[in-house]
Amino acid sequence: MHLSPPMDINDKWGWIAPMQEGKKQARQHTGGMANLAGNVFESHFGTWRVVSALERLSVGEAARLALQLRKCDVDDWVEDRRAERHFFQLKRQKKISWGAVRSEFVSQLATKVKGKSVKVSLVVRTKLQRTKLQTSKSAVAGAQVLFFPGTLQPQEVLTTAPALATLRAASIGTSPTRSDLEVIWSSIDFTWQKVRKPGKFVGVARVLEALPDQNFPPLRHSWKSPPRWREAENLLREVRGLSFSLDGGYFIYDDGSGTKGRYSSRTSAFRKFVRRVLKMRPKNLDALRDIL
Amino acid sequence: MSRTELKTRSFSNLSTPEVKKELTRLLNEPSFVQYRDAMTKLGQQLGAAVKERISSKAFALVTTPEDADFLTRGMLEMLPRRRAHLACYWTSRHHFPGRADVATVTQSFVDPSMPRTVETVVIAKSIIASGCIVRTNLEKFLTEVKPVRILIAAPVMLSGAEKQLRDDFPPSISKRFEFLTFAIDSVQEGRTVKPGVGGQVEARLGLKGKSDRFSPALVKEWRAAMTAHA
Repeated sequence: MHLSPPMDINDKWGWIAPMQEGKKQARQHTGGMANLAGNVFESHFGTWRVVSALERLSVGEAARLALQLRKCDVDDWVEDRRAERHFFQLKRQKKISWGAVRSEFVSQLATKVKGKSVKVSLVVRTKLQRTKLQTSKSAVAGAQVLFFPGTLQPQEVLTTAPALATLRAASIGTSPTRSDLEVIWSSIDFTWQKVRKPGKFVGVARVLEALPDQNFPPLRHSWKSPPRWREAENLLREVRGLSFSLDGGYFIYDDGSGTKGRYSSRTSAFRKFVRRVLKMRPKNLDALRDIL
Repeated sequence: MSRTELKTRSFSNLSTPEVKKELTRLLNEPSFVQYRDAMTKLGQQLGAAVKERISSKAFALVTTPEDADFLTRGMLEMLPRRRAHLACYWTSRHHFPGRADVATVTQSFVDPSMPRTVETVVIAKSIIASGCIVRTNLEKFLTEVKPVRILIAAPVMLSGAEKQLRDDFPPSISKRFEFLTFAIDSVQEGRTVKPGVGGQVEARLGLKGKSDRFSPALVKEWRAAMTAHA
C-alpha cells in the first residue's frame, strides 16, 4: 500500500462536533427530507464519504456504505464499520429544528445492532445551523450534528480536507491542479453512482474495484509489473539523460531537457510503451521520445 | 461557409479581409497541406496582434502539440523569438456524462530557461469551445510560472467561452485575462463548433493516428536549440 494512515477526519477537519446532551424530548415528528435523489448537497456529501471510506480502506479499515437503507428511520446515508453503525440525516433547508427529526432520531438511536455501537448524525449546511442545534434545549440526547458546506465545490473538498492529503498525493501528485481534482472527484462520484444499490449496503472495496484504472492506480492494493518490465527497465536505464521512477502507480519520466511526463503504470498505454521499448531498444533520448 | 453559418458567426475588430479569407479556407474542405497553411497564416495574423500587446520583456508561449507546428509557429514568426519561452502540454481529456469535460496533463515540455516570472504569457489554441484544454494548460503553467498578463489567443471562439474561462479561475487570475480572437461562433453540434475551424483540428491537420505523445517539430527544434546553447 502506498498510503499512510489517514488522520481522523472528524477531529482534524472539525466538521463533526459532539452533540450536547439533550433535555426533554418531544414526541412530534414533522417529517424529514422526503426525497434527496438528485440533490447536489446529498451527492457531494455522499461522494465525500466515499472518498473518506476509500482513504480508510487503504489502512485496512473496511466499511459498507448505503443510502436509503431499508427499515431505517434515519436512512439518507449509513456507514457500517467493524464496531459501529453510523446513520446520517441530511437537511439542506435554512430552517431546521430538532422537532422535525426527533421521532426518527430517537427511534434510530434505540435500535440495537449486534456487536456495534449506533451513532446518529444530523447533517446541516452551515456552521451557524450546527451551533444552534448543538446548543438547543430540545436537542435529541446522544445525537450528533455534522456540518457539511452546501456551497463547497467538489474540488474544494479534496483541496481543503487535510485528511485527504495522502489520497491526493498518491493519486495525482503533491501539486494537483483543479482539473486533476475534478477528474478524481468525478471518477469517484460516477463510480459510486454506478455501483450503489439504494436500500442495501455496498462494500467500499467494491467501489475501489470499479474505479477507472487510468485515474486510480495508486489506490489499488498491489501492482503487477507488465510482462518483461525488468528487461525494459534495464534498457531504459541505459538511455543517457533519462531519469524515471515507478512511483505511486505511475511511471514518471524526465528527459533532463524540459520534457516530463507520466503514465499510469496500470494502463494498456503503459504496457504498449513497455512492448515498444523492448522492440525498438532506444539508445538515446531522441529514439526514446519517438516511442513515448 | 453557408448563409446559416454566416448568421451564427460574428467577427472581432482584429478580423481583416485576409483573416476572413483564411478562416473561410479552413471550411472549404482543403487538403491537410492547405489546411496547415491556412492555420499558419492565421497564426501570423494572431502573432501580429499579440506583438502589439507585449512589452519588451521576456514572454511565455503556451501551446498544444497539435497547434505547435502551425498556429503557434505562425505566431512565433511575428514575435521576437529571442524573448520567447515555449511550453507545450499534452493532455488527456475525460468526459463525464452531464458534466463539462475536464482534462489532465500527461506530458509537458517547458523551456528549461523559462523564468519563474514573466511579464506576459500567451496561450495559443486553434479554437476555444468549452475552454477545457486552455484551462488545464493554464492551471499547469501557473504552478510553475507567475505571469503578470495572460493573453488567450485563438482564431475562433465559441460564444460564452470567455465567461466560462473567467468563471473557472479566481478573480485574482481572471482579471489578468485578455482574449484575442478573430471570430466568435454561437452554434455547437455535439462537441464541434459550427462553422468553427471546419471540424476536429487534429484530423484536419492530418495528425490523426499520431501517438498521443508525439513531439511536434517546433518542440524538437526548441529542445535542440536549447541543448546547443547549453
